[in-house]
Amino acid sequence: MDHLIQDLRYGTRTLLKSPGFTAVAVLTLALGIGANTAIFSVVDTLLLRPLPLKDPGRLVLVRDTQPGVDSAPASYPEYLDWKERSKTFEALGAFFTTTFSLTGKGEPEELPALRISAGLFPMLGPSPAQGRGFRPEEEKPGAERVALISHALWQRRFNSPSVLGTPITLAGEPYTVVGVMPPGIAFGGHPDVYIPFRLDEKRAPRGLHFMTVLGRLRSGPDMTRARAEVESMAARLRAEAVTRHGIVITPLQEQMVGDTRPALLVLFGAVGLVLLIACANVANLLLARAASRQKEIAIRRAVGASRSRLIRQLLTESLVLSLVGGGLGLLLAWWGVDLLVSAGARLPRIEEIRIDGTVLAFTAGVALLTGLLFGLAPALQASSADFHESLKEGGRQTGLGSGRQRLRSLLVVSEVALSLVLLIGAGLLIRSFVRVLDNDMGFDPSRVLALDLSLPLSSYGEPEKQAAFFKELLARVNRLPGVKGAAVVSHLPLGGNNTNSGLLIEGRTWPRDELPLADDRLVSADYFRVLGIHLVRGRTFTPRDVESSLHVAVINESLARRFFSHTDPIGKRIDMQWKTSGWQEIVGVVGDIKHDGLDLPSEPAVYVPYLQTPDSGMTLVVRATGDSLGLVGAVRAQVYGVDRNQPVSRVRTMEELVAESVGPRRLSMSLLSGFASLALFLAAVGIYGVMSTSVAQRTHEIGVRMALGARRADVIRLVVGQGAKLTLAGLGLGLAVALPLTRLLSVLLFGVSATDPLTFCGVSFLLTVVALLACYLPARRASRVDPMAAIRCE
Amino acid sequence: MIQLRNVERFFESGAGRTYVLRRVNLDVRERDFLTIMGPSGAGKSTLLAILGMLDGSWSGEFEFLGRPVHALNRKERAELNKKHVGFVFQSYHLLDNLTVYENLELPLSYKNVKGSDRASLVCDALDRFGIVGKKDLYPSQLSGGQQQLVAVARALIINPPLILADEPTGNLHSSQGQEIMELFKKLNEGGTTIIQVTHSEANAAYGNRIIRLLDGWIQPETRPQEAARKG
Repeated sequence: MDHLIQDLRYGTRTLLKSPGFTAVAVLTLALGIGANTAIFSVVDTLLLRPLPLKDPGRLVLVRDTQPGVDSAPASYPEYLDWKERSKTFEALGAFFTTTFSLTGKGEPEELPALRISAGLFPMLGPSPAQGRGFRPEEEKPGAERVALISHALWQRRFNSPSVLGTPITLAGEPYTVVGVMPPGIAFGGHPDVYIPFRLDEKRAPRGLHFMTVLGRLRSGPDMTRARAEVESMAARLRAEAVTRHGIVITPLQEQMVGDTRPALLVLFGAVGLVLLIACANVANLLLARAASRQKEIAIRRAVGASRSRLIRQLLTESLVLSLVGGGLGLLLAWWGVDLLVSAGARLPRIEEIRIDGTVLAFTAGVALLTGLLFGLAPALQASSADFHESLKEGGRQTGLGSGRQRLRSLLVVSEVALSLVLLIGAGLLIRSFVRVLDNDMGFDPSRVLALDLSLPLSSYGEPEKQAAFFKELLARVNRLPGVKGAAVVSHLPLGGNNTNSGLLIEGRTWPRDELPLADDRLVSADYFRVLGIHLVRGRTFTPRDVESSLHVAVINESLARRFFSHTDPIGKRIDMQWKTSGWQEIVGVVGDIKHDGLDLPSEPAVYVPYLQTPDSGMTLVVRATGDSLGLVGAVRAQVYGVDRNQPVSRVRTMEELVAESVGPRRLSMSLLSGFASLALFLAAVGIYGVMSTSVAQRTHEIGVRMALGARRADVIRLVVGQGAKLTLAGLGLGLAVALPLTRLLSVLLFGVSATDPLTFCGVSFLLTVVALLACYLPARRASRVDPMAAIRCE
Repeated sequence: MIQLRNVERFFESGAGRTYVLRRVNLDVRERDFLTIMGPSGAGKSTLLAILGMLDGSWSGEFEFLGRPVHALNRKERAELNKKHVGFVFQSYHLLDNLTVYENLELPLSYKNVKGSDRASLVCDALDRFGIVGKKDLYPSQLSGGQQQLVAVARALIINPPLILADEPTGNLHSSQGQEIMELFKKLNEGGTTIIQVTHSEANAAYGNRIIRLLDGWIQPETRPQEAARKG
């Protein structure tokens, strides 16, 4: 301990005596450790930390599966079947998302809401912070209307310390608040209101898949056993001809992390590589510094220091560096996590991401490991030097032994190789991102404003009233100056909502349970024109397509291709199995649009006129002649003009939605590009450092060469050539590593192969240029050597 | 105390072996004050480094206090050096980043002496060499003589039976040099064996034996009086 304190004291003082070296080393390490800490805090939250629910290892998502559809939400009858028949689950709960307009007190407000089964919260764990949860009888139609509200809504809308028993009006209906949920519920988005199901099988038939079902496994977290059990239950249900569908279960934690897992693992690998490069750089600095400390080390040996003691002392200095770097890195990570959280709005469990004890322990561990990693080789090298030579009067003090120079070269080659791997990864993600944006989305998102409207059923229970509201609103909005066109749609493209229903095609038969699925959309007549969706054949809707006229439908190209590849779909009749009833005649085919994401394929879709099948929840889309956001006030005024109690929610532009839909891809691309740029910079610094030392060592040789007639260009060529050799070796090694490694990226790529030759060549070229530039500066200095001075110097 | 038999030191070079020391045979007894002299490049410092076990690349036999150094590994040699040898160099070789106090403390710390014992030994040394007032100064704040005084104090602090001094007065004014040599003489009279390398006949006169090296070969030994006469 005594020695440790002494070593720490001397180490700290030695580092303070070389502020330049210390600052560069600490900053390099801080960047490496900071990036690792920030990404680890996300990895820890999403992949390692259990969900904040009761015994989360036994919670699973239970979904429907059918031929051609791997996994779909459950229908209400399915949920009831599973609940009744299953021995696999200790409990089952379900929910679906919806919205409710809160009226009657203050400004009307559209609230995100969950319709839940009474047993959901008891199964998951969180219980109300105030009041009680739902009782099973409250799930039945006709039961008293009760609601649980979120902590946030309570704080925002209710001034009273207790809201229990308070009547509130949701969607025009009176409800009683029976409880307040605690903050930080980790599923179903961030709902403000929870209402019991109150479903009956007539309104929610077997073909309508809309429910998220969660289950708690009786057997424990053994998924193989649980999967076998649900498969046998599905087989029983099929044998009894209840259904022809299957059941698929996924651990809830895995489901919540979803698509982010591969991107996170890639980023975690990337920051690991950045840290390795940072270590190589600091090791290089230490090796260069060890040359100037040869004499000190020799004296220490001469006065009795053993080699192990010297190594310990040098390692202590490295650890001081890495711990200070780690501390600074932690501050950077703090800032980085804030930045990540604000940039990664679509990350799951984002509100839980923070720097906690686990992350601190990780940082401390990484800092210690880093200190050993970059400090060990220089310490071994320094302590094994020929110290007798260093003590001789006039002995060489600044030279680097050939072994040390070789080690430094090896480190630089590794840095170039690692940087190349990262740059190639970043290059592939950038190219994918560009491909996604270039991908034809099938509509024009520019200058389009979208606002959600959910009409309360208490005032708009009848379809005619719903149709009349939207009809009048569209007429008013269309008259506004600056509006090029307005329309309504039930599911906005890229809006995050989609439903599909079973599709009947006249003259074709499928078993009832195996109907093909198609996305369903209710739209107003001008919808295709307002969004710029092109008509392929036939016609779109007109204001004459009303309830009393022929019921019509427009299909998209995907549906036409899949079901009418050999015939003309125009004039054929279809029937969607949910909202609509009876046959609709196909009058037109429109182009496919990207509904679920720019990088996801278009699914078959059916559009029907909202006037023939009105609904209470629609999104108003308005194409502006200028700035669409400038219209928000005027459009809102028109909504209130039609009904002053009608709230407007989720105002956004289509361009924002496009940006949001590529958000996760943009985030991982930006992060990987940032890390790759950092790696490139560190590698350039590394090459510069090695070449500078080499030039300083070769001053005499260069002087002699110049005295013998070498021109400045010859000297530059000599030095740059040496750097180029290292760079080429690094490129070779990097390419050999990158070729197999980039395959791990495949899942994140879009429209570009993991071994894309253009990216590999382009990135190698970029790295070569940067490396040669880093060599050029010391080369230019070498070429300015005064030959006579250099010779005399020696 | 020391016996060298046929000790040789050479470097391999492209043209073959270049010898620095050739078949060196030497006996040093306890309480000897031996001076090694010779022209530059004769192998004096190399011989001193071998005697101090700082250089391990030699052949022949070397016995130190009855232990066969030639048969010891690097670690065992370092242990012998740590316990029994104190070094004094021409350019003092104090550590610039450490204070006088810390420079003196260094060999004790490497000998794993306890903190409290270290403090009392360092204080004794500061007192003995009259440098108490300088204990918090850095080497760069001292004169050459003061630095060499600290270097000698550092060499002696572990109380070694053998002091090896390489041109100990080479960088000092004559009066400072004399002071250091007087100190060595006193130490020798107190029982410490001293081996010094020097070009100065006057410094050699403080000892009781002189060996001369020429191109790596030991010349017939002389006594200081004869040397002084020859000089």
